[in-house]
Amino acid sequence: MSEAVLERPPDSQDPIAQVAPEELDLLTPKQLAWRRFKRHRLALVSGGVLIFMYFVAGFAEFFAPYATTYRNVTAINAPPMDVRFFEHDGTFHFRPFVYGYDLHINEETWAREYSENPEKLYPLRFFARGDPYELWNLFDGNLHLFIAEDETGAGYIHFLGTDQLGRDVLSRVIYGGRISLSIGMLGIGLTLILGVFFGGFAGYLGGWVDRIVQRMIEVLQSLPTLPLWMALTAALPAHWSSLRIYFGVTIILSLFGWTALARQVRGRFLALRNEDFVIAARLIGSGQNRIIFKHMMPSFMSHTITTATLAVPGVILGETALSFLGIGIRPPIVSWGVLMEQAQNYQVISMTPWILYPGLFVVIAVMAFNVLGDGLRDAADPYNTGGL
Amino acid sequence: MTDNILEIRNLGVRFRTDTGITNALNDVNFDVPRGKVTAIVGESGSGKSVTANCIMRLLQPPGEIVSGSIMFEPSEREAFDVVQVADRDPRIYELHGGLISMVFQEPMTALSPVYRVGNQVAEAILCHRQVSKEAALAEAHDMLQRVGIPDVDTRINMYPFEFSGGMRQRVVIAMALVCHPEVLICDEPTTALDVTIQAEILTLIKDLQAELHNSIIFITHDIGIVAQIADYVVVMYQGRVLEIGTVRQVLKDPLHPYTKGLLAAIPGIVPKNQRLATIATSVGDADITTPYPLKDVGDGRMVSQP
Amino acid sequence: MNTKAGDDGRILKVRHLSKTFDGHVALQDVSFDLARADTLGVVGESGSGKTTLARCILRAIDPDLGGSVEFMSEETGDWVTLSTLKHRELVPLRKEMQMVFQDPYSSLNPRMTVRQIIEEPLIVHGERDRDERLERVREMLDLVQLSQDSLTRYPHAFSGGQRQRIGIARALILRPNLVVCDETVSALDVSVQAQIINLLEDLQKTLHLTYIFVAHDLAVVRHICNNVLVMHNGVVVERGDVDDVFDKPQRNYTKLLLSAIPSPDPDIRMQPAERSILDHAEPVVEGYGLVEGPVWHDDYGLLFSDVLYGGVYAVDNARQVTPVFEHRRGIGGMVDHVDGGLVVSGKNVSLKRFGETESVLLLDRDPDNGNVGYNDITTDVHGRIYAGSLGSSPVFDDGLEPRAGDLYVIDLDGSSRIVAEDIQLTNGLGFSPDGKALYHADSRRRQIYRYEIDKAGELKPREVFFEFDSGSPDGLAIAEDGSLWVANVMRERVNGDSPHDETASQFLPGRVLVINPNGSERTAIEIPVPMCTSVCFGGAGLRTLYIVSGSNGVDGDRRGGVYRYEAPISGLKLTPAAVQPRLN
Repeated sequence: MSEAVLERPPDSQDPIAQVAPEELDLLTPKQLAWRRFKRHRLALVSGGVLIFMYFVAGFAEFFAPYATTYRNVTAINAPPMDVRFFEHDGTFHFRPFVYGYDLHINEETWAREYSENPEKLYPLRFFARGDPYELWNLFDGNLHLFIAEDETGAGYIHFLGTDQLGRDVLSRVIYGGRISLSIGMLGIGLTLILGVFFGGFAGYLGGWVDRIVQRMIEVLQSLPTLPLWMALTAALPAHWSSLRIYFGVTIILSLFGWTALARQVRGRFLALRNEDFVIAARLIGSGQNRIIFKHMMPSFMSHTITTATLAVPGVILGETALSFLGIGIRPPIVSWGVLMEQAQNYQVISMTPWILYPGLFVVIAVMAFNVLGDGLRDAADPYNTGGL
Repeated sequence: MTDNILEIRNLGVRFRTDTGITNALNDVNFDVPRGKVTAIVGESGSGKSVTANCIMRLLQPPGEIVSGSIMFEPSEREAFDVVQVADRDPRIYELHGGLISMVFQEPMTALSPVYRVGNQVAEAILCHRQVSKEAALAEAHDMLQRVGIPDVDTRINMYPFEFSGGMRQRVVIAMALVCHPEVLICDEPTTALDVTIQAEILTLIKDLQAELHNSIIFITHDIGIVAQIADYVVVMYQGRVLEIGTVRQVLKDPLHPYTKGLLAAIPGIVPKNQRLATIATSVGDADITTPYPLKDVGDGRMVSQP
Repeated sequence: MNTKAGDDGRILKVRHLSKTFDGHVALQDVSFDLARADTLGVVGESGSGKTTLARCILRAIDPDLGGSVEFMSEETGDWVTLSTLKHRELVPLRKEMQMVFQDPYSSLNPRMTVRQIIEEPLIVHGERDRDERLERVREMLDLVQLSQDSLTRYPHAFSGGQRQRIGIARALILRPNLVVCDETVSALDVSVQAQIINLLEDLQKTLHLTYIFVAHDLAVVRHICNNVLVMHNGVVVERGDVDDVFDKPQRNYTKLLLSAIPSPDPDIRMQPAERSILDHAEPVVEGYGLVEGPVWHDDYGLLFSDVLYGGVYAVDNARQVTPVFEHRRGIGGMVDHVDGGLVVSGKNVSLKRFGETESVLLLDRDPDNGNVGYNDITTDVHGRIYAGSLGSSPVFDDGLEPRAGDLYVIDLDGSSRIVAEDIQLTNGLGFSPDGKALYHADSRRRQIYRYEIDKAGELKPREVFFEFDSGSPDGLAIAEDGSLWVANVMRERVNGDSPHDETASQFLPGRVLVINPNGSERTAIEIPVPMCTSVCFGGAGLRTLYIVSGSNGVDGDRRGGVYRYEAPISGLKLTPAAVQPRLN
């Protein structure tokens, strides 16, 4: 045994690896990957942001102060409100409050102009009873994270303003997030199934199967996606319910989204197939299934998850684009794209810029997914021990 | 002008990482005699490449030089300490490729895949001397011919990927020598090559050295190569120098137990039916991990011993 | 080890193994035998096909059809043909043969613990008992000298040498008999390499393992192997006892390889051979069966015959081939005739005039006296023809008692007589430049004989002029300085098989051996295909050496062709035959 004791230092390839302390040796590959991921601060933050967004979207009924159909006819195209602790005269309130709107019509432009009315003071109430809803169509409830209400029961809060029908933008962004974010996940799930299926087959079997799949991918990738999406979504029957449209759009998006993933999976499979440890598995007599599921899959899933993470923004953006053009998700279901549809008009944007807020959330979600994917990619390589 | 072109004294390098500090080099001392081939031999992790990077001032963070000096005395110039030269000092610029140049293990990393080899060699000249592009290309042509590239007229206009591994390494050697450096550092230049190509490259380096009389630092793990190419040998182990001497002294009469062990572990030296020694069995009770300082034991030999 | 039916001490029989990747030949016609508990080294540079060979044997890669790998299974006690089994059928045999890989990093699944990696073979082969498996894994760890607390760790926690030990433990846990080590110690530091070599040697002793050791480090191979195959461009160029091959290399490539190893002794200067010794003769035409009887003709250019598929062809300087005679199989030797035609040997010796379909018989065969035909022919300065008869042999399957052949001379008037007896196979005949000596290559005895010629023109008793260490001589040509240029068929019997079993031969690339007039070896010119059958000088100033080659005689094989090599000296042109047929 004394031979082996001396072995370690002269054997390690570079002086950095030489310091690898004993504790690292005891970690599992998953723990190592987590360590590497943790070092990627921005990815960690992005992960947090995404978890938060999904959580809020998941409990939209609770987090949104109003339902999507709620209309405040006294506040059409009203600007975002400021949450305050001090009244105009300097009086401090422990409970934050908002001022209600005062409507004026601009005599020159005939535009609606809102100003704060110090008379209408609506304190924020947390975990308060408000509009009734059915959570996930299962549970009845009327508890909201916050609403604004004075003692008389009057009051409203439009944190991000209202649209041309007087609907609360914040509430609709939260509800829209549920659709847009879930379509990202659902879409990527489908993409993953298609991509792994086709890519896996092409990579593992090779030969003519591979060639057919490859050509199929090339054809699909050479098609201009947007017109095709448009044509296909336009072809969805008009009498379909919004929910069916939602799934229809998801499928259409995945139908064209799997190609890049399939290529990656195929490449990875080809590379893994000739990896020594896979050949070793074959030479000890493992059957095909065991080789694929026990030896290849683990190495390959981390990689695939990374790729999938990086592909989620594509689906979200696809849905947004389609809905923005008015041919994706249809009202009354709201998504971020549907919300942005209103922002097609330049005049609307100049008059009521706050209806662009959904776009901000699209940007945040897309960026977070990208950064998270980067972090996962760096963490996934088991031999990437640099700097540990 | 002293006999040594480089004198390395008490060189210490450490790597600072998240998980701690490693001393990659500890109190490294050796000289590089002018116009000779000095081999640094050691296994991976011995610090031989780190030493070369220090001489070239190529050490990257998280590595840092914490102590010592590298006195460099080019001919017809004043000696200076490479460690002390500021990053923006023009001497650094002269150092890289001008006074000292390097040949790496993997020739493809030293060559750009998108430029013709002639232009790459010429570029090395243009970086260091004020000559016309035509003159530089003509010189590149001569140099490529000298390193044994056949049919230079055609090949000068080819791209590195059109060359075999051995031919690429010849181009890298041409690039390294085209500015007439005083010191050539070869960092395992033949490790990636087949043995017959290796023999050709070694012969080339030896022939060019006999012609140009430059000083060579040859880094390798292969005792056979050391025996064939070196005049002097520096044996390194875990960031320390264990033994210094001429090639015959060290290989024929090793003094340090580690060197003895290393030689007894080589299949080509050990008779066929004899068991190969491992470091553990041949070192026995001898202490090779305590960093004893180098002691002069006569005949110009230095050994790390109590 | 208990001996079973068919067990003759061999564990592996490889025959004519080839592998082509997308039209690129990675491995060509490799045959060898491996004895139990032997260590066979396979050496060569990158691209030599050594790793392909190792992987084809274990069926990590499927070899091309045609070749075969037979393995002596201990379980069934009989030979199994690995190369044709379905992958499913191979599974039980995996227990008996395993592989240790080169790269200690990529050969272990980074997501499995050491325990999982080592016990995986047991699980695959149906060992259900967890405790039993753990016990076996622990045993293996002891065997490869790894500590027991390695069990729960992942590969990343180990150094290269330790990982190689894990790889060895995985390979040995099923108790295999044959272990293929593919560059197992190449990526390791010297001191670690020594440990692994020692470990492999110890394991061989305790577990009676047979190793195939693929390596590019010749010193390592010499240290641990008994036998060696030297590979170059997918072909075995030399094989034999490791010390014989390393001390007395026969082939130019082996010489180059060995000369390139830097000696660790500073007093032994490395003198690498010039790479130009690898220069092959270049092909002129290819795609024929067994090409024989080359002769240079001033009008036609080079004439050659195809023994296997018939026909006599002429090839000019532009490599244009024109048939001269058709449908005649089995022409072994040719000499041109002063009347415009060729004297050809085969079943008999006859004169074929250009443009005529009828041939004139000069010397018939004599099956009753064990003479089934003739091989090479030549002429002396007078134009008399010397022809060697084949005798009879089981090889010809002629049903006759084996009998050696004789050397005939046909005088100018067409009469013939025997001038020398006991000739096993007349593969080459030629006169010295002064006409005072006749050389005769005997491929069965692997010797060249020399007959002095006395004043009366009669042959004196022969003496052995040259003996072949490897391969056997075939046709020969003589240069103006008296040197012999002998086609050297590099066919070696694979151990233990019947000498007449053609499938048990390993053909190495052919070569032409140049022998000085004093009988010393001068140099060797190699051709890139197996079987070099004959040579002749031709071209301007007779400075081109034409080398013809053959396939191994199997129908459908078209590896025969004509090659040329610019010789540094001129050759001698045979005197045209002047023999006139005797009219009976």
